[in-house]
Amino acid sequence: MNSSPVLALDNVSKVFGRKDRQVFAARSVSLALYPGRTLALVGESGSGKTTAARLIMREYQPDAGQLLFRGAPVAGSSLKDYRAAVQMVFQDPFSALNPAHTVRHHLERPLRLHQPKLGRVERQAAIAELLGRVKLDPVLITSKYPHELSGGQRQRISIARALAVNPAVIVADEPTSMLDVSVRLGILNLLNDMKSQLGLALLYITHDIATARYVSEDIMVMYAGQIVEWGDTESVLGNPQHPYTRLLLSAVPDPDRRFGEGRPDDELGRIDVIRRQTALPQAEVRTVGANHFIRPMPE
Amino acid sequence: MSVLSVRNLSIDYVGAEAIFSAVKDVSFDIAPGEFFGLAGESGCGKSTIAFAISRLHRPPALIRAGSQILVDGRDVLGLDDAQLRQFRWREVAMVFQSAMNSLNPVLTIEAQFHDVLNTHLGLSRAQSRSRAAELLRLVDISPDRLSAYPHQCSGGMRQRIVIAICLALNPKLLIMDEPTTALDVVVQREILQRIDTLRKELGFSVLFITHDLGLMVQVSDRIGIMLEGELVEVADAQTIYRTPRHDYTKRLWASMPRLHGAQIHGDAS
Repeated sequence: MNSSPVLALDNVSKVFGRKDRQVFAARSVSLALYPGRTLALVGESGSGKTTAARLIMREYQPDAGQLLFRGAPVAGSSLKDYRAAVQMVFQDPFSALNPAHTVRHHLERPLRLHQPKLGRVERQAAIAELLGRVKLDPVLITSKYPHELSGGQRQRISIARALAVNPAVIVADEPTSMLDVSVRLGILNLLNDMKSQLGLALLYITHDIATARYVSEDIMVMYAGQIVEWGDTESVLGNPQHPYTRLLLSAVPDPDRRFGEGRPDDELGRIDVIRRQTALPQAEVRTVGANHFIRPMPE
Repeated sequence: MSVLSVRNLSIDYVGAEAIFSAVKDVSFDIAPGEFFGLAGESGCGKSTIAFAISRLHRPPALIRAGSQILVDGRDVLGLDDAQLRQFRWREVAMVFQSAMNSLNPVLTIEAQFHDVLNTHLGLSRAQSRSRAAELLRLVDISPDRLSAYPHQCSGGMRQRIVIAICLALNPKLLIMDEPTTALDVVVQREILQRIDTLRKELGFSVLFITHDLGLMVQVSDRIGIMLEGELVEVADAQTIYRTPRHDYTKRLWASMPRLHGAQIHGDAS
C-alpha cells in the first residue's frame, strides 16, 4: 500500500431523523480506496454500509467530515467529472437496467455523455470491447433487452456500463446477493480481473463474509454507522478482536460446525448485549497488528 | 413409517406452445423428526415440489399421472377440498419465502393467531390468546407483542411469528421455502437454531429449501441436491459435504468461497 488513496472518507458522519431522535447512519467513518486493491465493507442490514456508498457517490452530503478524491476535497466540484471517475454497480440487476432499452443503449449512453468525441463506428467498437471485457459475446448480446438476459448476464452489463467511462473507482453494493451460487463466482472473478488488469480501486459492500474474503485485501466491519474493526482481511477474519466481529463470524453458515455440536459460541449467547453495546460510540482506536485495528466496545 | 413419502413425482408447466418439465420423476422420504434439506439453484424445481406437497400448485402446473405424495401414509393428491382444509396446517404447514410479508398489516398479531385457531379448532378469543402466548414463547417472543401490528415488529420477529402460527396445530411436517434469505446472518442463525431445538422438542419433521449449501449442511440431517428438475443426489449431510458423489454437487461446493482455511480457486463455470 505504497501508493496514495484514490478516494477517501475522512471522519464522515451522516445523521438522519429529527433533533430529538437522531440516528447516526455514519459515525466518524474513515476509509481509503487504493488502485488495484479491494476494500470489503461488511455488516448486517441497517449497519450503514449503503449510506457509506451513497456518501461516496455524492448522493448524500456529509453532515461532518469530508470526501477526498486524489487527496482533494470534492465538495462543490463538478459532479459529472466525479462520475467519470467513480462508478457504481447495484445490488439488483433486474431493476438497475431499463426494461425498455437494449444493451446497446445502456452502454452507448455513458460513452456519449463522457466521450462525446467518439464517432458512431468507434462507439460501436467500444461497446463490443466492453462486452468482451465482461465476457459476453457482442454479436449475441448487443441487441437484446434486459428481460432476455439472465441475472448474471445483467450484472455483467451493469459492470460493463460502469467500465464505459474508464473509472478509477467502482463501488459495488451487494453485487452478487441476488444471483445463484454458481453464477456468483463468475461475477466475483470478473471484479477481481478488473481490479488487477485496469488498476481499479474497488469498494465491495456485502453481508456475505465468505465472498468478502474471496475478493478483498482489506476489510471493514460496520455496525450502527461505525467501523468497529478493520485491516488486512486474513488478519481480521482469522483473529477477530471486536465482540461484534466475532458474533458476525459465528453466525455465518459453516458446514464444518453443526448446530448444537462443538463448543458453545459465547457471542451467540449474548447477542442482545453485544448489539446494544456496539450501538454506543466505541472507544478510541487500538492497534491489534501491523494492519489491523479495532475500536473496542465499551464495557 | 415416513412422515412424507414422495414417489415418482413429475410436474410439468403446460404452455400454449411448449411443455416445461419442472420436476422429473423425483422420489424421496422424510422420517419423523428428520430435518431434510432440498438444495438447488433458481428454477431447479425445488419450490414446485414444496407447493405440490401442500397442494398449492396452480395451473399451468400439472402433476403427471403415476406421481404419488403420501403424508403419514395418506395420499395427498387424492384429497378433495374439504379434506384439504383439514390437511393443510394440521398435517403440513408451510413458511413461505417472504413469510415476514405474509402477515396481514391491518390486524394485530393476536387476531392472526385467532384466525387460525378459531377456524381449525373453534377456540374462543380468550382460549386463542393463551394458546398464542404459549406459541410466541416457543419462538422467544414476549406475549405482550400480541397486541402489536406487524409493522411494529422487526423482520426477524415477523418471521418468527409466522413460524409460531405455522406450529399452532402441531403439524407433522413443516415446509420452509427459503425462510431466511431476506434476513441477516445473525437473525437467520437465531431463527434456525430455534427451529432445530423445537423440532427436537415437539418432534415435527422439516423440509428445508435453500440454495445456501453451507447453512444446509449445518442444520440438516439429510440433503437432496436438485438439478434441472431431477434429484441427482440424496445423502446424509456430512456425506454431501465431505464426499459428494455427483459432479454437480462437487461443482456447487467448488463455487462457494470459504470463510476459513484454504481459499477455493474458482473457475466454477
